[in-house]
Amino acid sequence: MTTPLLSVGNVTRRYRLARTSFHAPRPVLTAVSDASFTLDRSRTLGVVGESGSGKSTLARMVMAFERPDEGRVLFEGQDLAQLAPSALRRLRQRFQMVFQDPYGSLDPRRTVANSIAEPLRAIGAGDHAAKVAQALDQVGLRAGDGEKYPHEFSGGQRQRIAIARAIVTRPALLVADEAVSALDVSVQAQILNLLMDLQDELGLAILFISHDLAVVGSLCDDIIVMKDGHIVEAGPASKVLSAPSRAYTKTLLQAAEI
Amino acid sequence: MIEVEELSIRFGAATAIREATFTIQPGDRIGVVGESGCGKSMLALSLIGMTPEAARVTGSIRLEGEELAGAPDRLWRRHRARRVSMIFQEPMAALNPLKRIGETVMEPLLVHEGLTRAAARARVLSLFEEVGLPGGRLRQFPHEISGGQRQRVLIALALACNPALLIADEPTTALDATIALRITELLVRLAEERRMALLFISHDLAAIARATRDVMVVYGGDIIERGPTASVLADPAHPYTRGLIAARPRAAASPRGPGERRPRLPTIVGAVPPLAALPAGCRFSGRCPVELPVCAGQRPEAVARTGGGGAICHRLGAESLTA
Repeated sequence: MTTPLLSVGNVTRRYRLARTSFHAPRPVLTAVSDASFTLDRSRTLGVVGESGSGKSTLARMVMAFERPDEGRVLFEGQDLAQLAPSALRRLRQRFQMVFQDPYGSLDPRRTVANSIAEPLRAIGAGDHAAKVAQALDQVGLRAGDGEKYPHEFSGGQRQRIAIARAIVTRPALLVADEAVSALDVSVQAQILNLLMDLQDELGLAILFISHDLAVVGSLCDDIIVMKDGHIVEAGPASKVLSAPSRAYTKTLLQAAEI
Repeated sequence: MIEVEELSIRFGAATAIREATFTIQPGDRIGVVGESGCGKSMLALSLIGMTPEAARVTGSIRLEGEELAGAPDRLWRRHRARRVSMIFQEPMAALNPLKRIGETVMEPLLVHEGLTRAAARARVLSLFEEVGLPGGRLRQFPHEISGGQRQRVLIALALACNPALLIADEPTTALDATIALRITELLVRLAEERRMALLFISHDLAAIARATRDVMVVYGGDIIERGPTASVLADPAHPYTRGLIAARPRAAASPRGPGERRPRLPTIVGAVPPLAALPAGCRFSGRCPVELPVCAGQRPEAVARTGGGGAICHRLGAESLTA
């Protein structure tokens, strides 16, 4: 059996909250509790849950922005928490992230090409111009768009720019945290199709985080449903959507259906 | 109750709403659906006299017979809260963070209704009960309660003076799916129990389907289709409505083998143009998959649709859309 691209094993992440009284110990919030899953190349895993369910914390651990208190995140078999900072920096080109609000994640004073080249600079890669031009082309923007600034683009186009920045280092894994939630229906469909095209073209694995089961259903092979830090349901998308075992998943489904 | 006739809202040369005509009766639950920048929020604001100062409002808005289109703020103030009330997408932004929520809801009762504090307090308690908030919450501040509860506070505030029409502008968009479901159910129940009209504005077709009985689809400032919600969603007549419904992802998936291509979502080509760049004829021309030569220059007439209501499209009447 080959090593999965991403293997998350029994991860738990706790936060210490502010003291509520001088004498009491600081309360502890368990944001993610004993979560495990794997993700292979060219596959999409949807993580569904509401705010506070722990899905974004899970994403940040996969991105090595945070370390799990327990358990391991293995990327291509390497434990991210055990890597030296320099090795982690080099490995970062292999996994990239796209956020919900493209306007908030793009520097308004930088040209689009400059923003897209950012991850290349971070890893000290050469030949920026050619790679940026290729990334722009892959997300359906024109080469000339690189000279413009973020405010000159619509919300959907800005999300394309954010995706171009994420794929410019040729990652194997893309983590998308509510990447289409802020978009209108017709634009959302365009961006979802773009993600599918990029997956076919580049063999990307996608960890797709969303509160919307309908969006997840259109894109994902497998789904995990999170509630209060726990994975409450997991399985192939077709099974979770057609025969949800948990009442909570059923409510989410009801919310997504006309 | 409200009669809107040939209502237009312009910003200089740009038209945000073009000659909208519709009526709202007591107990109606009407949805307004469309994408960002299509004019749906501007339409809502015009019904409560809160369009931006730069906007030029023409046509007619009659509230129980009184003409209010382009009326000065002083006239509108007599009706706001009492006849027409509104709730917004972001409940935190609409609440005073320094005020206890009970005080916030009490304010219109003291100012508009001239109630004593004791009477106002009793009314707030019954409003809280009506919207499903525990009375114990009265003395809490907005940051101490959840997003769904904040939206309930705003609904209680909007209902305080028993309005005949409640306008809800994307009331569930910022909420989690299960909370959104509860808030939508609450709005429907309140409209029914109070025989209050509800104008429910959303880009979310699923929320529109649950909350409303009739719907108006807005694109480029035109009401391009209207009718009973169930029939418009089941059998849309206008190519834009069709595109919008088709582009919606479905919560259904089929297993995909290795190397197998996942089916793509149908899309509407291009993007909503800026108001100033809208085509003069049918607003959807340039993006429409079944466009005729006449569409860009000539505005289509309304054609009745099967199932009630109508749509404005040159294809309708001339030939079947599916042909």
